[in-house]
Amino acid sequence: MQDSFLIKSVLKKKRKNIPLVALITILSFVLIGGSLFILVLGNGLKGLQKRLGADIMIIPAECENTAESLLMEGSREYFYFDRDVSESIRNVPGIDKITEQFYLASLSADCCTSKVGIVGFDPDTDFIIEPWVSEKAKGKMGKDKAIVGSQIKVEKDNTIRIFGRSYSVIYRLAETGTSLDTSAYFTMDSVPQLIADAESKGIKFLDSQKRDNMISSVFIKLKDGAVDSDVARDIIRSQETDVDILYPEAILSSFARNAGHIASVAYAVLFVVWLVAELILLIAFYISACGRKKEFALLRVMGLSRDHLVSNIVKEALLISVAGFIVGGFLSAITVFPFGRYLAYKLSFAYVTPTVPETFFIFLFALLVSIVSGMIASAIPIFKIFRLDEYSALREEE
Amino acid sequence: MKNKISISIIFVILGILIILAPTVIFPVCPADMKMRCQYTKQAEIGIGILIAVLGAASFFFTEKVRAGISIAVAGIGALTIAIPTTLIGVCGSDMMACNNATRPLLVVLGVLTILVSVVNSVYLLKIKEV
Repeated sequence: MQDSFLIKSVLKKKRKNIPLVALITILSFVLIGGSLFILVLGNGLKGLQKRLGADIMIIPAECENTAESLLMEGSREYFYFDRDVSESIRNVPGIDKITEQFYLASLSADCCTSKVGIVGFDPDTDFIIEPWVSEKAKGKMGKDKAIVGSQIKVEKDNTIRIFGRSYSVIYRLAETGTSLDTSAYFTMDSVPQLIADAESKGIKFLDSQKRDNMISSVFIKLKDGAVDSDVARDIIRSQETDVDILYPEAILSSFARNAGHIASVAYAVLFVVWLVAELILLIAFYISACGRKKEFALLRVMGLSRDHLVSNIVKEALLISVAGFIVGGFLSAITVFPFGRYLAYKLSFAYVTPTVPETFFIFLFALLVSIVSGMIASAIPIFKIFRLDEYSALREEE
Repeated sequence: MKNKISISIIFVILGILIILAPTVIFPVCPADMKMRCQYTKQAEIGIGILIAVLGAASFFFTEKVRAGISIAVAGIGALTIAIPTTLIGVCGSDMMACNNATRPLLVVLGVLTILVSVVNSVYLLKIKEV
């Protein structure tokens, strides 16, 4: 009975309450969108961090930019050099582990409607891919076996078909939000077979891709205490051909710093939006409380206790906050979440779909902030009620 | 009268948006590529036309018929969602616009269509009857 009276009273004061609901709507919409942005930024970074386990990456000369975009965005480009590069650095001091990778430019394969990046790696020396593969992997890596990115469609019998041949999938990697998700990883000895199959399907290859001793990059893990620039200098000295050196860890840490700056700006924007919304709410509740002095006094004279009046004000603020949150939550559910991936792709940052608990917490956070904001604003009318002198309030209005 | 005009206009707008989603707003892959998103586009154009025509038609009928039309539109709304998600689908890569933009837009438009038509039929059958 009481509550239906309350809802009616809130609905009756449309001119006052609709702007307040709209304000909470904007607040919760911005909170949900902002939190999702910060979460996605962090998740994308975590995904990349896991995948860049090397201190030094050697690539053919003048391929620095392509290789960098390969590391950060997972783009697959042609670049090759001789396997001798990897052999000649074995004696360079400071090196702990060396592994090689071979990239085949993105190709459309049977399994996918989009292009697939094919990566050849050596499971015996590898320290880049294996750490992502959990213990749940189905068997050991070998010829005719593959590890695939999260976007690659795997058949029901746990295989993928590439250029007419089936490869059994031993593991499906977690989503990174980059084109690493559309990559498939094979052992080096599967690569010539892949090239031959692709050629038989009419795909043309450069001679450099077909030679057996070609690789695309060498990844190096340093011993503890080794200085990367010293090792890099020794590597370049040991080479007969020109090579470029990249520092994946250093690139990542500068990327992480940038992401950190963007996240702090996002936090600041969220705080400012909340502050502005809270101030407007406080002013609105203050004005409304001043105007409702007579109403409060009348209700008091009619026998409503102060506690009852306070609880009504609190419920009213709660109703407005929850209504605003529902509208804001609905708007963000039909805009921010469905188009997050599209926006992230347009803004060139990794989008890892938030999990159900993460989404739940984002909405819960927005709901709590909306309610707390409403409650803080309702403190003003509550304060007025406690200081209310019914007699003079009723006289004043006469 | 208010309900008649507003619902007709909303259905016509939703129908037009469903036609525009895969063609103009977030165009799917080019026609020469014969991909799933192409067939989804063709199906959604048909669905969009159907919703817009039903919306326009509902303007000329009584409340009970309008409620019936709304129920039908709710079913068509479900189809709007099912076509890009399960019945036909879109391209596999989430880097492609048909996957990361057209499909979610069609799903959102489908949800809105269902929401509007269900609320309208409940309003016409229950509330107006009382």
